[in-house]
Amino acid sequence: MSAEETTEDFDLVVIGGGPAGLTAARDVAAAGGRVMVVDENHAMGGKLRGQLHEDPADSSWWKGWELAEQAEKDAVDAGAQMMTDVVAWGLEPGWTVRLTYPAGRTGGPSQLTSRAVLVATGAVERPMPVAGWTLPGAMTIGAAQVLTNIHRVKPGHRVLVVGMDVLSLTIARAMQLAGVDVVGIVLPPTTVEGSSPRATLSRLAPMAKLAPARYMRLGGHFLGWPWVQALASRLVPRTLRMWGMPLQLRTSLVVIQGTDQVTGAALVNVTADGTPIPGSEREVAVDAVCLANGLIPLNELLATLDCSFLRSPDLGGTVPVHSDTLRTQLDGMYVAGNTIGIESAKIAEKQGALVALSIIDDLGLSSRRGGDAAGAALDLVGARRTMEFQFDANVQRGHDDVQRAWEKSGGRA
Amino acid sequence: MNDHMICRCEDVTASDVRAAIDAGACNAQEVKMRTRAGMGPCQGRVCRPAVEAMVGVSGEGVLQSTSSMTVHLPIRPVSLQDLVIIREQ
Ligand SMILES: Cc1cc2nc3c(=O)[nH]c(=O)nc-3n(C[C@H](O)[C@H](O)[C@H](O)COP(=O)(O)OP(=O)(O)OC[C@H]3O[C@@H](n4cnc5c(N)ncnc54)[C@H](O)[C@@H]3O)c2cc1C
Repeated sequence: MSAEETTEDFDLVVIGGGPAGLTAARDVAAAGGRVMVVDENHAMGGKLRGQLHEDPADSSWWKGWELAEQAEKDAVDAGAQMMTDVVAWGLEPGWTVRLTYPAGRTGGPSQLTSRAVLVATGAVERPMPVAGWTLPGAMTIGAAQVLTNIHRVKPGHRVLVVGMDVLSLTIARAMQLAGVDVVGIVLPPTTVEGSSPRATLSRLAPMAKLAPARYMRLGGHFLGWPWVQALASRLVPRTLRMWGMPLQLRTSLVVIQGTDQVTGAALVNVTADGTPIPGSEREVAVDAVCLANGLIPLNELLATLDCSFLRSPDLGGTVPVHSDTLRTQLDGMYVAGNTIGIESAKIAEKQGALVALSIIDDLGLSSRRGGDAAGAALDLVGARRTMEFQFDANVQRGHDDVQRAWEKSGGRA
Repeated sequence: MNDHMICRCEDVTASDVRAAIDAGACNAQEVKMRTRAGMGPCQGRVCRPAVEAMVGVSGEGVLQSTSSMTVHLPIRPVSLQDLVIIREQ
């Protein structure tokens, strides 16, 4: 593309080259559509690139970066075009996608015009503000995942993980495998909503019951752990060991310490309901602190347009009202992946395949893979039921609420 | 001692936000108006949920936007060159 050329006509522009966006791009391109994928990262693949899990079914490893490269290759082979290091900063009905190049201009267009747009911008981490969180050495758990699994750099030598959810436990394990001394996994400061031992356990316990046979190793540990019984008996154990790492279920972070760099953290014991116990304050020496406070669907682009949203804790935040076939209220605008609810990469990929069927249908293209969107939407509900893990056990309830809001709104505006 | 940063772009601390709430700010947008939290280069992408955690989210069910703290174009910093090209067309 020449520098003067500032606009291009596409059938589909995909914003976000994660598993959802790349899968949709592949299928629409394979059906003969002119497709462009834009991503602000320097490489395609989205959050998939940082993922490393052990699959309990066959003890194989889920290596996200390899899956990401394959997904990009499949989309390119199908005829989709790709641009990295480019941010979509605005959408205008019609559709025009405005672009800017934060990493320096590479001669790319400043806008793209397209018949359809797929917003597949994924999720971001919810911040956990606490004294010391802006010090070098304090980072989100996602940053630790990128350092460890993508850049192969230890986030620190002695690391404290704050916050207990599927993501933080998985990444704590990845750090441990990389040779990091994970000195403890503790609860967020008591001021953080839902951070009490009881609330934390009641969020984790239902996950342990999900498809136990296929749960990603962690699940086996969850089930083996005494905490499910502990919950039933209303007792919260003080510390459990997970692969030798202490999971301190009765300890909360107070502040992160250090002047130029993290040197430690102040901790306090709490009651089951999260009240600090006076006299139990203590310090632990660490050089990095990883903060995990959950994920939020990223929806800024759609928030600037004329469509409605549903607030759903089950989905992780506020998501655009859309149909179960992933059409939005705006003609030619589609959504897929974590932008409509926090789920695993496998589900995001399925949503990508589903939305492609809707787009192919609406644009009058013909799919070579076959299948119809309504059928794929039903398959997705089934897939959720047998998923080896979920970020939120009630995610399907959230999607059902969105579907009801869609029907009530009369669908397309 | 427990004061900490909420909006890194505009240097707004937790006590600034608390003072705004005490002075009557009822939602994240009103906190933004009083403190500038969310008005920097990231436009609230990081601090919006942190401010909402302090002041509460407003609205339930079907809403007209994702947050009371409004989202505006451009959603990210844009190079002047890219804006100039649009103008020329
Ligand atoms: C920190 C973090 C860690 C995670 N770890 C795991 C894990 O270990 N296992 C797991 O199953 N799931 C994990 N997830 C969930 C993850 O979101 C899904 O697995 C999956 O990657 C979602 O796919 P997606 O295609 O919806 O979005 P993503 O994979 O997030 O891809 C979205 C892409 O959109 C791009 N983008 C966003 N906005 C713009 C814009 N305006 N302009 C241009 N590009 C844009 C981003 O750069 C990104 O590449 C994690 C999520 C996060 C946030």
